[in-house]
Amino acid sequence: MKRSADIADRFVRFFLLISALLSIIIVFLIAAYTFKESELAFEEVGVFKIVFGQKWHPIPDDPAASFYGIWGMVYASVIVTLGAIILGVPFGVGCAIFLAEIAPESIHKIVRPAVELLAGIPSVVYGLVGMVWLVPLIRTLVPIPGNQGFGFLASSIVLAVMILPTIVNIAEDAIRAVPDYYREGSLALGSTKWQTIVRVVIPAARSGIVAAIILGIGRALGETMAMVMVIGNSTEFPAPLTNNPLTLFLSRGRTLTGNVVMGLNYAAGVHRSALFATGVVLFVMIMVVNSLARIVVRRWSAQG
Amino acid sequence: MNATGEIAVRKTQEQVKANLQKRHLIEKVAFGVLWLNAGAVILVLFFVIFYLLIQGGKFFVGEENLLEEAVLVESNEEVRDEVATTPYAIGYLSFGYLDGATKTIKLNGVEPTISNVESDAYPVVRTLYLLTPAKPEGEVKVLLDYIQSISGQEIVVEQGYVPLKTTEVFDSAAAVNFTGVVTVSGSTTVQPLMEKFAEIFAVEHPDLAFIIEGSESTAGIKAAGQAKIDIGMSSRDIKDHEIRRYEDMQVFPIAYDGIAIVAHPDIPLDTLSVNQVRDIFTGNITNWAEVGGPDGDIVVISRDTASGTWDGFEKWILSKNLLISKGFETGNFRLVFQNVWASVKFVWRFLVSKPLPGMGGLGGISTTITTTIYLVFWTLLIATPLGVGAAIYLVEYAGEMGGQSGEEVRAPSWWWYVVIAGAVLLFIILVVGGLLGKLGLVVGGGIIFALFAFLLIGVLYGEGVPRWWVIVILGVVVLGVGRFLPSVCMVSDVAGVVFVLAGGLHFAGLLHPMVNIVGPNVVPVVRFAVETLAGVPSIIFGLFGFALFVTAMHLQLSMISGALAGACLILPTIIRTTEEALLTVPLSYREGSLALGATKWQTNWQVVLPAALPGIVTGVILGVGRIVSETAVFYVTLGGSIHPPSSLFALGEQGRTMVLHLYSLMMDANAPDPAMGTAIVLIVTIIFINLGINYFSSRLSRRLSGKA
Repeated sequence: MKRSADIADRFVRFFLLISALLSIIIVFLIAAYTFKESELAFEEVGVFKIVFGQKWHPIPDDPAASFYGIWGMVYASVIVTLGAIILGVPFGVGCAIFLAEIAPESIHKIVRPAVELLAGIPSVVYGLVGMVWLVPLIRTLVPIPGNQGFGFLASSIVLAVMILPTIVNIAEDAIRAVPDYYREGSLALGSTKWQTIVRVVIPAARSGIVAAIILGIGRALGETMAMVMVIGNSTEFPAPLTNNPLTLFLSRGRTLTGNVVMGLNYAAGVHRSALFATGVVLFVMIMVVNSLARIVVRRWSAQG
Repeated sequence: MNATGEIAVRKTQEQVKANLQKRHLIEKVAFGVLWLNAGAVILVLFFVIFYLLIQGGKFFVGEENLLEEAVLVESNEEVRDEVATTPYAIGYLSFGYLDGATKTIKLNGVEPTISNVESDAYPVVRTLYLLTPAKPEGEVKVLLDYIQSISGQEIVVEQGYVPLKTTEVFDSAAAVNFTGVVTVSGSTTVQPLMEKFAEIFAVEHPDLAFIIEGSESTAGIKAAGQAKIDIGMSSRDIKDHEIRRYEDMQVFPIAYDGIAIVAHPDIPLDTLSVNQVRDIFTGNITNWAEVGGPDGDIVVISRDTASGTWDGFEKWILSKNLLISKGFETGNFRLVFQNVWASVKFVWRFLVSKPLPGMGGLGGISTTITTTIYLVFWTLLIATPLGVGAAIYLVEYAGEMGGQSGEEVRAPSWWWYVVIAGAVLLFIILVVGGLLGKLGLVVGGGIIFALFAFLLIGVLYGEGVPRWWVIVILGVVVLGVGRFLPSVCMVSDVAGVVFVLAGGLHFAGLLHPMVNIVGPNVVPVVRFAVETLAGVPSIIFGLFGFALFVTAMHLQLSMISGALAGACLILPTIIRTTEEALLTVPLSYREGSLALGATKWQTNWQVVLPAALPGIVTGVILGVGRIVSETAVFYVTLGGSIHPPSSLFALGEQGRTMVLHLYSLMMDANAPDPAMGTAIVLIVTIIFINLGINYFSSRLSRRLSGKA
């Protein structure tokens, strides 16, 4: 009896260990396979020509005449993410502060589940609303020749709405995690509620707020299907439609993620490999963003 | 001096007061801005939800599609002839074409007559229009004045149409004798009426010739808008985009017309309800016996979609919302109830019928629901035990690394690091030179695998190490297996070589110190890996799944590829939530159990896991949510077949989840309306998932605080 229990103990332990190690295996496999598959393109075309090439034009039977430059997509991904951050972050953080510090319980009770619901809504549903409502709206509101509604502006707005729930949820949790005696101490010293929020609560919660923003950036960079639906998927290098540089936001483009998903099911040879190379570049960008988040959180929480 | 001091004090006081007021003002503004800001966010979020609900609702209460097998003909006459001569036929006609050759069917028991239209009892009515390219002049103006006058409307009644309510009297004395040709074209519904007017007009103006051609309303509007003819005929309302496009075009209502449902003369039925007619024309009723008629398959005759009669029929019969509002307006609550009930039935049909291939996104979403459920099942089956197991290891066993085996642990000295570095170097040379033969990126992969394998052995050692020859044999077996499975040979070769090497090291007595370096670092590395996985965008999982499962392992686009890739995707979610749940279980639970003599696993299985169960369920439901809403990964691993896997166990077959269906409805089938319907179903699913999460997480906190 005792012996069999012991053996079971050891066996289970072994199984648990293997499942714990599985995450490492998966990370390794992901890195290995993505790199391995992209090797062909990097060798044939050259790292520089892929990453900084401005023209993407794969021809299935003629790799020599094809172009596999993804700089336009890097550009598009960055622009769209920046747009989403500019539109989404102030509102998101403001809303988090409001929900955590100011909102009456009754409002909080309605809004919080709504925000959670929106965090769970599939990205294609946001893409759907973007396609059916936002794109025609932009097309009619901005009567510039060549403006089809699809493009960076529509994508930025859709992304901003998509990352709002992420930012609000995490930032609110971070603000709520600030111990009450911080607020009590500040108020007892005679500062007002606003001063307490700005000078005490927010600095104390800043690592969480920054983490929320960076996670939002990660989500925006990695978003795929909704972008495919509203950005227009042009492989032309994005450029302003008129002399006004702001019309760049009406230009259509293609994100790194969109490039991968649109070609993967039929591409072969160098083209296929170039799609994996696109994935590698995206992977590196995301890793940089995420490590940044980790560093910021670690440093600031150590300070606090 | 005293006075100046007082003044100074007062001044300071005033300044403080002013400062305070200023501050109060700033504060008020700041709070106002925050309220506004939050209001804006809440507005946006609720807008998204309500927009979807309203649009999806519109789809469910809106128009249904004509069945594909319907016979399409080009004019009212053809409909009449076709219905009169085809046994078991049903069709619809303008009132002007009812002449006894066909059987007229009552709608909800109301006969389609002019008086019933005028009293609002008969619901299927539209307006007839004439159109001129610009403001009418001369003979056209006189003709239009005549038609819209009392005497003109008498002709309308004679022809079997419903007159406008007018008090204008036509003064024929004002008309001079016109000459020339007037060209008219458009709706075949208006055509007989127009021909009659031309006939009457020709009596007074013998030199005026009319050329009247019947085609369709859409063609008539276009020709009039482009000034190719003098008068266009339309039996439907002019659409917004047509008004915008033809700015100068003038529109004149000339009569109302009802649309009657007609059947072959031998059909003994007198009346049908609106819902029955809708079901017949959408293909939900296919035999006359289903509506109390003879046993025979119904032949549906319809006009094509450019026709104005089709437009009126579609608007009033196939759409439910218009009839609901019409029912409310006229107090006909039977109509309201019928159509609300029809909407409910439509939602049900949408859920249980198969999607049809091709444009327009016809059919329901039943197979996509099935596929989603299958996929969730398999993904959870793979991911839950692994994720929960990993979390248990991290929380319950992680603290015991090293030393657990009871053997003496020596501190590693510097030359052990040299040994490890040398082994890694040797391994890399092996990988590069012998097995893979390629430089470059593969070296990176090699290092990674080497590190991993050392880790594995190190940890195994800490768990009670096998004998050295066991490790060597294991390595040989792994190498051998790789020969038979070319798809995994890269992995198995590396692992095999590492095992053999490690066995050798163990034999030489060198393994033990290595463990002391590797062992304690396993848990942080696992955590790092989980965090990394959680941050990796889903399309990377898609790429990985496509490269490994679909291509390298030859699983093709299939349920199993999708489930494996999906399991990788949700693994970090499950690990993290389970970890959190386990950490909330008080230490005293474990101590109590261990003190009673239970083993570690018995304690975990019978004490800790049950206490943490609601938290684990929360993690699993979160995983379900991710699988239901994930598109990119399954687009490249599950495929997009409209046919579902034939059974839960048909792991090699393709499928299409609800989100994939929504995507392809928008991108391939160009069908936003069913896409909205699908979105509603998805949102309802997500709402239930969120409710589940809230329920279980609140149960966890209740249970652990001793209230339940």
